[in-house]
Amino acid sequence: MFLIVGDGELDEGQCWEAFAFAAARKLGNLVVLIDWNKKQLDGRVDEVLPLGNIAAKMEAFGFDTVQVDGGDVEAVAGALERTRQGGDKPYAIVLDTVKGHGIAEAENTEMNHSMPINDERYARWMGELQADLAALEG
Amino acid sequence: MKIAYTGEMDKRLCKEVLGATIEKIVTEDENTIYLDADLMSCSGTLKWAKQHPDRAIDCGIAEGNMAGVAAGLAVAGYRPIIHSFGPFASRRCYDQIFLSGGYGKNDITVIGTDPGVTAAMNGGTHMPFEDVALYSVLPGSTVIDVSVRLSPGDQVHPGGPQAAGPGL
Repeated sequence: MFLIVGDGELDEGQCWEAFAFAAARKLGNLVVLIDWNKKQLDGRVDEVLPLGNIAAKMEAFGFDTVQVDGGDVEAVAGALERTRQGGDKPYAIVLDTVKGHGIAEAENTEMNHSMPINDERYARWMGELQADLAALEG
Repeated sequence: MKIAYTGEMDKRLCKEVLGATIEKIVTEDENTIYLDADLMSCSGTLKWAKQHPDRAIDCGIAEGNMAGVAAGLAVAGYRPIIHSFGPFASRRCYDQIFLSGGYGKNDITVIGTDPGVTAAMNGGTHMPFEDVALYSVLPGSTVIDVSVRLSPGDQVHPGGPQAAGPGL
């Protein structure tokens, strides 16, 4: 069972109720992927409602926790592979990511949690991603 | 007699009107505190709030706690105004509003924006259809369903747990 959550989303107390429950019930087949991209709508997570060390919190909540570079596909795959071993602890994988990664205009915009996309921007951004994909496949 | 509505569309964005209204109310009434749950960007208050951290509190995406903080402020003698999107300003924090606001007789002004299908871009999770019904059965509450063509500035005022909102 895989859950994918954002970091701003972890402001909600309900998330932490669920984490406490998952650890108490020893849900070793649960993997929580946390997209630690450091931004939410009103600004940086550290400014709106600082969460502190997310990996340390997950560990303290009883999760088997690792933190990896979320932009490194092989690192993420390795962290996921580890979770196959099961056990009596739920897993947390904290993905250290950059919001808008791969699209320069999005990455370099400070308030980039929500950016409107028109036809022109869509074509330009898809072009950037397609070029990256072609480079990887080449 | 004053003509309130001539049929013309107000060209301003709702968040421009709402942001200016909140700023005006909080500026004029030193007892008023504005709280939001990571949606200041949508209520048109972000820039002003950053300049007035003593009058505006961003609680993060934690609406239940925001309602609790608001109730605490009311106990301390302040007039809290809280804002989020309609479903989060009603369903998500309803028990805290019910107990700490209504049952505790603490005045909280609740503003819920992007009502019903107008939240189309954010999808079904952001569409409230039961917000007015929920607040209507909360003892002591006053519900104001604001028309999009009237300034919410005429409607938002502290005094009793309120849902001023779904029309904003």
